[in-house]
Amino acid sequence: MKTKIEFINDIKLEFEEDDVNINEDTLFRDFDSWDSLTGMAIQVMLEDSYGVTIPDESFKSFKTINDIYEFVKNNETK
Amino acid sequence: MKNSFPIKKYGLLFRLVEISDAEFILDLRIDDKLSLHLSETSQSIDDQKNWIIDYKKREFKNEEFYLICCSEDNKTKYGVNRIYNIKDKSFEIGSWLFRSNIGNSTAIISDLFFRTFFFQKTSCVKCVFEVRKKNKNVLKYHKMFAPKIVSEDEDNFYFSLHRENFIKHKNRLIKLLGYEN
Repeated sequence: MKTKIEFINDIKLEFEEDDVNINEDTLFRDFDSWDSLTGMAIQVMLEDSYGVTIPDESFKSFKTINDIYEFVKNNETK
Repeated sequence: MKNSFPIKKYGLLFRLVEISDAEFILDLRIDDKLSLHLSETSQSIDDQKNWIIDYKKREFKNEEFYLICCSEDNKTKYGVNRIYNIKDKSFEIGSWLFRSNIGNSTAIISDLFFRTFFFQKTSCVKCVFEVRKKNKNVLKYHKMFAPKIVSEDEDNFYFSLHRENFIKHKNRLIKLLGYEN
C-alpha cells in the first residue's frame, strides 16, 4: 500500500483544479468542481491502481479523503 | 426509433423532449455553473420553444433524438442528452446537461443508457463528440472509454469512439454504479 500522502496525491490528480488543496480531512464533495464525473474517475482510478472496487453505495457514504483511504487500505489487492 | 420511448430503466424514465420541457431546458442552459462550457443560449423561452418545434421535425424524420431523463413517475426532470448528425454509421452526442443538485450518478447513467440504446437499435458503429479543453471533468469521463482524438483546435478536442470500446467500458461503469447491464 502506498503511503497516505501518495494516496492523497493520486486522488488529487482526479480533480479538475490543478492547484486543489486537499488533505486527509478534506470534505471532497464540498469542492465547487465536485460532480459525479469526478467520483466516477476516482472509482476507476482506485480499481486500476489499487485493485479496489468501491460499490457506489459505499462511495456515496464517504465524506473525507481518509474515509476513502481506510476503505482502500482494508481492501487493497495490488 | 421514436416509438420506443418512453423507457423505464435504472429506476429512471427516459422520454423524448416535448415543447412543454422548454422552461426546464432553458433553466439548465442559462445556469451559471452548467453553462460554463456551452455555446451561447438565448434567454428567451419562445426561442427555446421554437428550437424544440424545429427539433421535433428532425425527430419525426429519425434524424435527431433529444432525450430527457426524469424520475420514474415523470414528475421530476433531471437532465437531457441529445443524439444528432446520424450518418455514415455514426452519430454525434451532445447537449449533455443535468441539474447539479441531484447528487448521484444520474447524468452518467443517462449517457450510458442513451448511447447503449442507440448502438443496439441502429447499425451505427461509432459515436463522435467534441469536448472543450477546459471542461476537464467531462474530458476525464470520456477518456475512460479510450476514444480516438481525431482532431483538435484551440478550444476543443474532437473524438471518435468505436462501439466495441464503448460497450466494453460502459459495462465496467454500469457495474461500478451498482447496476446490472
